[in-house]
Formats: sequence, structure tokens, C-alpha cells
Amino acid sequence: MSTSSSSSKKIVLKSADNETFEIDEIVALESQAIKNMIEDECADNVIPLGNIDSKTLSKIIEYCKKHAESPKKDDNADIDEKAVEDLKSFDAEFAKVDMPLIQDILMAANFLNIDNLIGLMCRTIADRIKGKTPEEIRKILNINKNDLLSPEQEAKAREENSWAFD
Amino acid sequence: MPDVPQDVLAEILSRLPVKSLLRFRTVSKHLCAVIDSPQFVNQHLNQSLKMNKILLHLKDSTLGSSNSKCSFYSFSTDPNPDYEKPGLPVNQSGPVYRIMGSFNGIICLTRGQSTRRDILFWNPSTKRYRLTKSVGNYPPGSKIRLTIVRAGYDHVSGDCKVVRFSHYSRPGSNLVCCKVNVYSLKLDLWQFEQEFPCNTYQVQGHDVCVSGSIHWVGTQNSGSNKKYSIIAFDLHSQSFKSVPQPKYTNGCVAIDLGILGGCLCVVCCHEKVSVDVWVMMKYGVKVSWRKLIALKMSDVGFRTSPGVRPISYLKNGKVLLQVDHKYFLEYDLEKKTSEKAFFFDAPYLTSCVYQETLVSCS
Repeated sequence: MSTSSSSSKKIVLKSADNETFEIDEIVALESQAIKNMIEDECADNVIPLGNIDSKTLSKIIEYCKKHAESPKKDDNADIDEKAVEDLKSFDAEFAKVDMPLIQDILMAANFLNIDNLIGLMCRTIADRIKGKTPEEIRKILNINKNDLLSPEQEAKAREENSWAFD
Repeated sequence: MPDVPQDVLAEILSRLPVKSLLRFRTVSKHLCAVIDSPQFVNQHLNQSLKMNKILLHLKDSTLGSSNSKCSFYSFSTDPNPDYEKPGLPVNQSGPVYRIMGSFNGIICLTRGQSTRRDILFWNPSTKRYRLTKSVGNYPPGSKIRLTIVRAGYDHVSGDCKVVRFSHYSRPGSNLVCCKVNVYSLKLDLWQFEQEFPCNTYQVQGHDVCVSGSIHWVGTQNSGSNKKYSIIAFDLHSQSFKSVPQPKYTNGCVAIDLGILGGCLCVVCCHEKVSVDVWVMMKYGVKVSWRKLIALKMSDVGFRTSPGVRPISYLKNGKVLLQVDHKYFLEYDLEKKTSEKAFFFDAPYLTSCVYQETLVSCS
């Protein structure tokens, strides 16, 4: 899958299910982990990503491509309001996927060390769970019974901030 | 989400509102320990500092009336803000509380007379508070001329501090002493006291805490002109200093201080012409003063004192300004125009910027 017609340097990423993605180096550099590999010259022509499937990887490439193309914020230059707005609405659209995929993207972004994407996924998850009850959160996090508060502790913690349970 | 690494879980939690976090403390022992830990409180604070909220204090009865009712409203700086109405957690009979400032989500308020004051530290997001007193200690028979109580944040020691300046003269003496006392919220203690002879000077307008120092405007009469200076009290070194002022254009008749985006501001009134807001982009550097806003008198009404307070940058490239304790203006930095902003048109209002944090008042 080629993502650019320019003659710039290409990097090939290989997903866990052996699909390959050829991308511009500038796009790959959005990942601090890949950047380090390239700088340390330990990246071969093909970078295998054994823990990221092709569905997740293609989403990540979509994100990195958009962010690599957008003008970077520079402290000295006036920020291009339109570009900032454009990127914001891209991010909002990008995050409109189901929770399992959000989590996969978050784990992959964490592995690839893409700061902005980690932030976006964390914010998305936070927005989706902020209204949940403690019981629902226990299910989501798959909390072990041994880690539960004693009934007395739980009653006390509820009482301390009873307004937060309204 | 069982396999989320700890640091990623903390990243997610740090983006949650305080209400959700207080609820999620009951999820598990582990989550409770994470949310209560000082590291997490700091991590959450750092996220919250990116999202300003505005606390609005309304008095809905005529000033001076003994049963004037007060209420607080809180809203975000989003284009379509939600309102909350956090109630003050203490008995409000008696004098009305006045906002002194906000630091890391804690609002500092005061009420009372010059010698005896209540000081309230209040986190409206957790609804926790601490009430303390400021009681001046003077030799019997002293004449107290002036007491000023101000609050600020000493970011070197990470502590909210209250400073009491008083001018008094001992019995039988005309010599005026200036006394400075400093209260530390961390230690819950009035611990610093310094006394020196001084001239009484006039203090006017608002005080602001920027860069670990409390600033206010000092006025001296020199002939027919008033001479203004910006005086600062450094909360860490506990010493006074003076801050350079912008090069005002001619005809500046009065100044006041403000804070915008963490920077010190001077609001300058040019008689019959304009009200300007200057921002000190780099603290302490004279050449970094920049005139950000120039309001025409036709925008804010004819005046001889500033009466305009910068409150916050908004997300749409505008600046929120409070005018005469009565209403808000949105100033468009690009078009250099202003229009009346939303809702509240109250008999008397004050406001401050704060953030939603877990930071404790004790």
C-alpha cells in the first residue's frame, strides 16, 4: 500500500498478520520509537511490528500521515488557526470508533511512543467512562475480587463524597 | 481493559473530572490508592491546568445590605459552557466573602474587619475547605491605620500563602510602622513577621499573584500628578521588590493590575480615549510589555479609572474581560472589536479563573 507519490525516503512497516505498509519516512517519524530506531540505524528496510495487527496499524498510519502533513506549532510563528481547527476535527472524527479498537490503538501508540495519539485515545476513553458507576468500571477493568474494598471501607469512601454518586 | 499498563491507566484517569475520580475511588483498593497518591494528584493537576474554568461570584442584592445573598457559579471556557452552582461549604451569615485568588484549584476567600478576618481555602471541585483566622497582634492602645490581607502561591515551596500588611502607630507615637505577617497553608501557621518604619502609602485597585509574588499598585502624589508603581512581595524570599512598568502612551490617568494566561497585566485608563490592557510576556522583563487590548471609551463607557479586568483567553481567539463588576465583554484580538458576552448582568459580580483539581486544602 503506497501512501505517497513523492520520491522521499520510504519506510516499510509489517503488521502482526504480515501485511506490509510502505510510508514516507516523515510519517514514520511521528513515532518516537521508530525515530529512535532510524537514528540509531537499527532499522532495516522493513520494521516488523509483531504486536500490532493490520487494522490497528492502518489507523495509526492514517493518524500519523495527517499529523505529519499539518504545519507544526511553533512558538515563534503565529499559529495557523485554520490548520489547528482542521486537525481538531480530524482528531474528533478519528476517535469515533468502538472501544476495543480505541484500546488497540492506545496500546500500539504507547508501544510506538506517539505522544499526541496516546493523549487523544486517553481523552476519548476518559470521556466515555466519566459517567460510569463503580460497578461498570470494575467490569471494564476486570477487577479481581481480592482487590475490592471491604464493605466498611467502601461505605466510608461513599460517605466521604456522597454527592459524587448522584 | 484488563491489560492496560499502570502508566497508561494513570494517563486516562488524569483526564477525568474530579467527580468521576471521587466515585471511582470505590472501584478497588488499587484504584483508590492511585487516585489518592500525591503523584497522581499532580499528574491530574497538570492536565487540569490546560482547562480553565471560571468561578463567578454574584451578589444579588444592593451593596451594603446586611442580608445580601451571594451565589457562586462555575463554568468552563468552552463556546457552550455547562453551569454548575457550587455552594460555599461554610456558614454565610455575617459579612460577605471576597475572592482573593485561586491557586491549583483552591479558591482563597476572606471576610471581616481589618484586625480580625476569616480566611477560607476552598476547593469547589472536591467541596473540601479549610477555615482559618487572621488576627493582628499589636501593642495595646496602638492605632491601626491600614490592614491589607492578600493571598498567593509560592511555587518554589508549593504552598498557598496569605500575607497581612498592616500600618499602625504605637500609643503616644506618630511614627508609622509597617508590619508583615505570612501564613502558610501547608503548615497551617502564621510564621513570618517583620516590622519596619514606613510612610503610609495609598493602595488601590486589585492585587494579583504572578510568578510567586503578590503585586499591587502603590500611589504617590507628586504635585498635581499621581505617580504609580508596581510593588511586589516575593512569597518565597519574603521580601519586597519593584516591577518595571510598560511605556504608557501619554495621558494615563489611572492603572490597575490583572492576570491573563498566567502573565502580569496592567490595565491603563487614558482619560477620554481608551482603556488599554498591557501584558508582561516575560515576567520581570521591561521590554516584554505588550499592548494586547485597546478598548475605546465608546465600548466601555466614559471613565477615569480602569474598571476592566482581563479574565481569560477563550478558545475562539478572544479574551474575556470583566467590566465594572457588572458584565463581561469578549474582545476579539484579531478584529480588535468587543461585544457583550453572555448572560449575567448582575448588580455586583466578581470572577476568577480556576481549575478542577484534587489538590487538598489541608
